[in-house]
Amino acid sequence: MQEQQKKSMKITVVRYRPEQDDKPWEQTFDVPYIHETSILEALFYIKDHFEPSLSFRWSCRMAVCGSCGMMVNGVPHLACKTFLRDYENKDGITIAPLDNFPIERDLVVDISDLIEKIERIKPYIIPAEKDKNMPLTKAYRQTPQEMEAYRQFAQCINCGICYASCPQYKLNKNFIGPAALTLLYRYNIDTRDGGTKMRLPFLNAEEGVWGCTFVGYCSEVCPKHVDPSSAIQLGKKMSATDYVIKMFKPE
Amino acid sequence: MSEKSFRKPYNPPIEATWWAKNPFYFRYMLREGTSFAATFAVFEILLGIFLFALSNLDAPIQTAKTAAPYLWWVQSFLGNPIVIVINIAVLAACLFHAVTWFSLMPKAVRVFMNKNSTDRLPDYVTIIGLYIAAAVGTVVVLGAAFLSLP
Repeated sequence: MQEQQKKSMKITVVRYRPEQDDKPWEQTFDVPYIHETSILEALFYIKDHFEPSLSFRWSCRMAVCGSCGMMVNGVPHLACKTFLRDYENKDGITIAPLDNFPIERDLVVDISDLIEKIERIKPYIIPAEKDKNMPLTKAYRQTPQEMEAYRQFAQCINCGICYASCPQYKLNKNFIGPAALTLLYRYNIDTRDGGTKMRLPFLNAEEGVWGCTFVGYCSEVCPKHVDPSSAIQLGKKMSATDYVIKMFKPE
Repeated sequence: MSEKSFRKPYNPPIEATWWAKNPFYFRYMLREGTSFAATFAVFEILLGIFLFALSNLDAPIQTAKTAAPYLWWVQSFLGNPIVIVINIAVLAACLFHAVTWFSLMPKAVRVFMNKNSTDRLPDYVTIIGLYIAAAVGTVVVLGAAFLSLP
């Protein structure tokens, strides 16, 4: 225990106070830590002991809410799921707000663009025409395989880490992005859903799946292992199939 | 009375070197960069076809004179040490592209083992399948090339 308490790490936090600052600047703190200290807890320590004005978003502390996404040494991570012990051999830690989003204050970014895009693709089950009059007491039935088809893609917590990792989104903010495309695909392949037709225009668009060049970093950094790049490539197949069908069967 | 907003969101500028700082992005750009190698190979082959067409194909007997343009391409152009070095680099770039492409491919394949199973086709099956297809294609092309030799 004595040995543990001696350890401390240099943590550099990117600060931005809209009232005073014209651009972000860095502030370094010496933070004591133990084996279990997460980045989020280190930020708590800084706020409690050094800099009460430090702002950052957090809620659940256990990788469920998706609030505490931030750049740790240039890589987007959930602060609650990233531990200081993994950076012992590095030259300290630099914590910056999530890339590719406007910085509101310190580590808080404005993710309204992400939220709008996720809303745009109607991320909820839209009953098919045949189920329109299905009584509410009756359940939709689904085989284990039908559920397994989308289960992984349904794990998304909308944290925005995939957007921070996406060069296509960095270069073109119109790109609808990994999370929205993943959820679009997830609802389109759900057997209970009948809203595919409404979502296809967003999938087929230039800003849809075809804006993705398969960098694949979103799948690498996703804290919930959703694998957005897989969903997008499968979405490209869906879009191409739809294109061929429409050639022979115009509406 | 409208409330005064104190918001002043900061939009970080996009640096031209964004891809150089992260090894993952660097590898991606390297992979995209292999398209230059592919472009070189395409123009090289097009030049060969063009010079082949320029040769006197109607001559009853092909001599070094009638086939001069094509022979220049084979001997002087392809035989040039600089072009040989470039072509080796092009081959390396194409192999790098193929290997990375094959390892990405399982992401676009989502097939279940059978009608009721929740187990998906393992990634290595897709990757091995692609290597076999590449090997078969190579053998067919090389076989055709050697069979066409007089």
